[in-house]
Formats: sequence, C-alpha cells, structure tokens
Amino acid sequence: MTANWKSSSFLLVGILLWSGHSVGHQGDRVLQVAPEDENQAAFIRSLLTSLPLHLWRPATAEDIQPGTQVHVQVPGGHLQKLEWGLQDQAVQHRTLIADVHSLLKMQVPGIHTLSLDSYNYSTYHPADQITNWMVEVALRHPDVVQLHLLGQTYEKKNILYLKIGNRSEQPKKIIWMDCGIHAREWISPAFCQWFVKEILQTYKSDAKVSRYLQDMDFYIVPVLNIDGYIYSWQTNRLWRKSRSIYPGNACFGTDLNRNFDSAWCSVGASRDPCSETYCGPRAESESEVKAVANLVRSRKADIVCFFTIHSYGQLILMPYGHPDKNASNFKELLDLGLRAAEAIKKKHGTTYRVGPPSSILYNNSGSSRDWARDMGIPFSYTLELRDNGTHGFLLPEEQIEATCQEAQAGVMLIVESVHAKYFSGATALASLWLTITASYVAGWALTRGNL
Amino acid sequence: MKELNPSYYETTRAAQVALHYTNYQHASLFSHFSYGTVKSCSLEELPGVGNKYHLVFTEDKTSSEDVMGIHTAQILFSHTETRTAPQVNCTYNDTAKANTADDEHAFYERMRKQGKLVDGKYIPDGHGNIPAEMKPFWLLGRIASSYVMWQESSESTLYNMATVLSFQQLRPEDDFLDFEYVVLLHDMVSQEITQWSMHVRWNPTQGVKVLNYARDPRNIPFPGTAKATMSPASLS
Repeated sequence: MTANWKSSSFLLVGILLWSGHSVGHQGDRVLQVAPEDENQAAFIRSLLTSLPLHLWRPATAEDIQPGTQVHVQVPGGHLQKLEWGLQDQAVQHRTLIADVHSLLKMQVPGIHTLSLDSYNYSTYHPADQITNWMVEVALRHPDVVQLHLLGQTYEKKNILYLKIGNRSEQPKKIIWMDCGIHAREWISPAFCQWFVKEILQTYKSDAKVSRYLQDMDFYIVPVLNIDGYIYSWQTNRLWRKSRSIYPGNACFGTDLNRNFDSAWCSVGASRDPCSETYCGPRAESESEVKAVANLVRSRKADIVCFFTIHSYGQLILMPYGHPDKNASNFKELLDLGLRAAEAIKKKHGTTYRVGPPSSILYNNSGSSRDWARDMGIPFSYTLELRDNGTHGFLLPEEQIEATCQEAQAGVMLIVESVHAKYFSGATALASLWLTITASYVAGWALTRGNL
Repeated sequence: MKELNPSYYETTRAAQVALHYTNYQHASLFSHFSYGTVKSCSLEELPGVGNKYHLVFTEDKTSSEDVMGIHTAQILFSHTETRTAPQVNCTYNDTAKANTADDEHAFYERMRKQGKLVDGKYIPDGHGNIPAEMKPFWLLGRIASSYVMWQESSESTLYNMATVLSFQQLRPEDDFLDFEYVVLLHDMVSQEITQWSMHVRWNPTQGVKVLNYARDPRNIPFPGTAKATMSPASLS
C-alpha cells in the first residue's frame, strides 16, 4: 500500500513537472528541509536533479543524509511543486527566507540611487556598486534576468550571479561566464558588466541574441573573488588571491584559479601559502571555488560553454594547463579559438594568441577552465584581456570600451558557434515535436485520473 | 638548431628579454621599442654554456611616429652556477628617435629651470591613470625598469613594469638629471610582484643609465584608490 502511494506520488510530481504548470512569477524562497530517513534523503536528492533548485547547505547532494539540515533555494514558480512533493513524502520543512530577492535588496544600501540609463561602463566600479547594478539590472529586466546567490566568500559576503534568458519551466542549455576570480584584474568584472549590458540592449532588436536567450541561459558571475576585489580597492591594488587564512600559515590568500579539482597542485602551483599561486590546503578548500563547483556540478549536463575572464596578456587559453593532458576535442577548441581571435583582431587590430597554457604561457593546474572541461563541458576558455604588459593590470579606463568591444566580438563568435552546434534547425524541430507528443501523453494520463 | 613555434612561451620569454635590452640600450625618453609578431624562432642548445634563441620579428605595420622596431635578436641564457644576465644582440630601426629629439631637449631644459626638485607617486595609479604632466617620468621609469628586467630575466620569467610607486629627483651634480625610483615589477610566470629601487640618471644626449638597483623591502601601500600625484603639480 505504502509503496504504491510513494510511486504514484513520484508520478504526480513527474507529471506536474512535465506539463509545465506554472504558479506565476514569485520571489525565490529558501526552505529548510529535514530528511528523517534514507527514503526521504533520496527523495530530496532526486528533487535536486529534476527541479531548478539551488543547494545552500550541505555542499553537495551526496552529503544529504538522514538528520542533515538541508537549505534549498527554490524559484517562486516551482515552490508549489516542491511543497506538494515534500508534503507527500511527509518530509519536515519550513520557510527560512521568504523572499531572497528582497533580502538581497535590503543588504545593499542606496539601491535606488543607481540609474541604469546613465551608468558608466567605461570606469571601474567597486564591489558594492557592482552589486547595486546587478539588482537594478534584475529589476529592470524581470522578463529575462534573475538574480541568484552562488554562495559566500571566506568573509561571508554574498556572491551573486545573473541568470539571463527567456523564462522556461524546462532546464535549458547554459553558457557560463565568471569574472573577477583574480582581484587585481579589474578589466575582468568591467567586461562582465559590459557583456550583460550588450545582451540586454540588443536582445529585443537583434535576432541572433533573441534566439540565444530563447534557447539558452547565460549565467554571469561579475565578481567571484569579492573579498580580494575589495582588498585591491582598499589596501593592495595588486592583490591576486582570496583572503582566506589557515592555521599555521604565514600569509593570507589562496589562488582561486589553482584551487579547482583538476590535477590539483601538480604543476604551476605552489604549496607555499605566501606564494601568488598557492593552491590552498586541499582542492576546493575555498568557499568561492566550492560555490562555482557545486552549481556547475549540478548543472554540468546542460552547460555547453564555460568562459572565465582574466587579464592581462591578450590570450585565448584552452584546456589543459598540464603539459601531459590533452582535451579530446583539442582541434575543435583550437579552431574555434583561432576564429575568435580573428574576430577580435577585426575590431581594433589587437592580436590575441590562442592555445593551451602549457604551450603558450606556462604550466598550471587546478584552474576553473581545466576543471570545467574535466566535468565534460565541451567548450571551456580562459580569456586574458588587454594589454600585453605596457600597463598590465593597471589598464587605463580610456581602454575599457575598446577592450570590451573586441572581447565581446570574440565571445559572441564562440557563443554563435556553440549555439549552432546544439540548435541547428533540425534539432529545434525534433525537440518541438517531442514536447508536443509529451504534453499530449501527460494530458491523457491526467484525464484518465489514474492517481 | 631547433625550430620553435613563434606562439609558444619559450619564444615570448626570449623576445621579452630582447625588448627590455633594446629599450634600455637604445630607446630615448619619448621613443620606445615595440615588437610586432615573432616570425620565426630557433633554439641553439650550447652544452656547457646555455641556450641561445634566434628571433626574427615581422614589421609592425601599425607603427606610430614614436615607436621603433626590433628586426632580429639573439638572446643567450647562460646555464652557469651563478646567475648572469642574458646576453643580447639585435638589429633594429631607431629612426623614430629623430622625431622626438626636440621634445626631449625641451623637457630637459624645463627640468633644469625648476626651482624645486620634482617628485611624484603612483604612475599609473590604481585606475591606470597617467596624467599628461607625469608621463615623462613614467617613460623614464619604464626605461630604467627595462634594465632591471633585462638583468633579472631567465627562461623562467616574463617581466613587465606594473607601476612607478614613487620617484624623487636628486640634487643635480653635472649635466644629468638624477632620480631615485621605486617601481613594482610583475613576473607573469610566477605571478609575483616585486619592489625595486633604482638610481637613475638621464640626459637627452647620453640616454638613460641605471647606476645601481636593489630589491626594496619597504612596505609602501598601493591601494586601488591611490591617485597619481606630483610635486610641483606641473612643471613651470
């Protein structure tokens, strides 16, 4: 009796998901969930793969065990489904944060003094201004922008990201872009802001961009290493790492781009905490890295392209940093990278070199780009923006516009190519047919009342 | 002789040494060397001596009237017990120097006429800003830093000057201008930032000389909000 009830409940949740029943747009909520036995824990783990939920705690789905406190962020449109499922399985739960959006707004003082229309994208902005800007962007474009919490920094600051794309009940293919992983590379967050601005200024008028937002979601993290970025503004302009400190270590900071779990600390990284390339006490020790890894791991089947933005050097880097590792699609990555470099050069004549770091820069390991490729994400690139050493990290603000324009051209060429690969005309038609068939079947099952 | 890919890091690091050497030896204050792209690079391994790189550069078509080009360069990195500076030979075109000679003499004369010794900080500053009146001191710092970067380079480094933390004009003794410079250098390979102080002298006819330099252990703060400053605010 119990087994039938449980399996038909799964079916209920499954059918509701399939038919895309929407409760209308509400704010994101964070629920506290308490699984009491293995069945409940397994049920919650299954929900994480079938609903667009964000796990705040514990770090991964595998860590959800009977007795663990689970905090999960749920988009408003899926709240009812989640609650029905939890009630069905008699899983204890309560609301922890009723409206994440309002909470984030409250955390940012002076929020309504920022005007998007007169926003200056050709100047460097401090962290709190970038946060203000993200909230304004999300408020201005609720049709295509959602503000999400990626995780927290060492100093417990919120790392936010923008999800940009047409709303959809089904999971969509994802293009990932993170900026500001290294504190002193100020042009990097500036580029993320520029990129978002360009997408939002053109998605209604440009057929290509409109199509991208229809078929895919862009996940943009403008400043990943917030602690380091703030430190570079207030204390040391040339700081690179995070601001974590471990007992017994003489220096602060782990190089976040040596802390990912890809050939971790094997080459091109240091065990010395005072080194600029300190890999950390263990892979994914840094909460900033953990935040990226958790989200990417949970959505890796959908992520088709991973960009991480750095400076300087004018390079398009592809996997791997380890001299003995080769990506299975090396040629494809190289060809696309070379075409992107051509697009960049067409803009303002700037030369970008293309290749794996082990050939054109230096050996390294534990980078986000390499780890993303290890996760099976087929296209993974590091962009090192201007310049080639004349100003280095201290790129003059007069160059922000031109640097961003050429980088945009390179990124969009890659986006176009990746999109074409997954959304050719034939593929689009096939998925449309599948959706029609599935909706018919779901409708039939519901009316048969076999529940 | 081994052919190397012009895009690979061995080539880039050797080319960078050639650039620093040429800028120190042959650049003038307002004209500097740049290189276009490396057309070809070969490596000559000399057992018991070191590695010698042979580079040929393409001509930089987008040249401006203050930029000079390096044509070919040979860079020898010695593999001796004690570290020595790489030895460089190159061919280059420095005709652009003539274009800026008048500006250099004019700047020299203005500096000689100053009542006060000139000093300044943070060039470029936290936002990459280099005010026009401070640009000559930035350029001087770059040439002087080129000497340090040439001397300190190896096959495992790729140096650039990050910023001039400070410069202080010293009492002139003869017909040179003398300065104490403190600069931050960035090594791309290790990603480390190091602080150096240098005694620099310059005049338009004899160019830039670094009399001595050393690692500077002082903690000189450089926040992102730091602004470029000079005293006097501009030359009279």
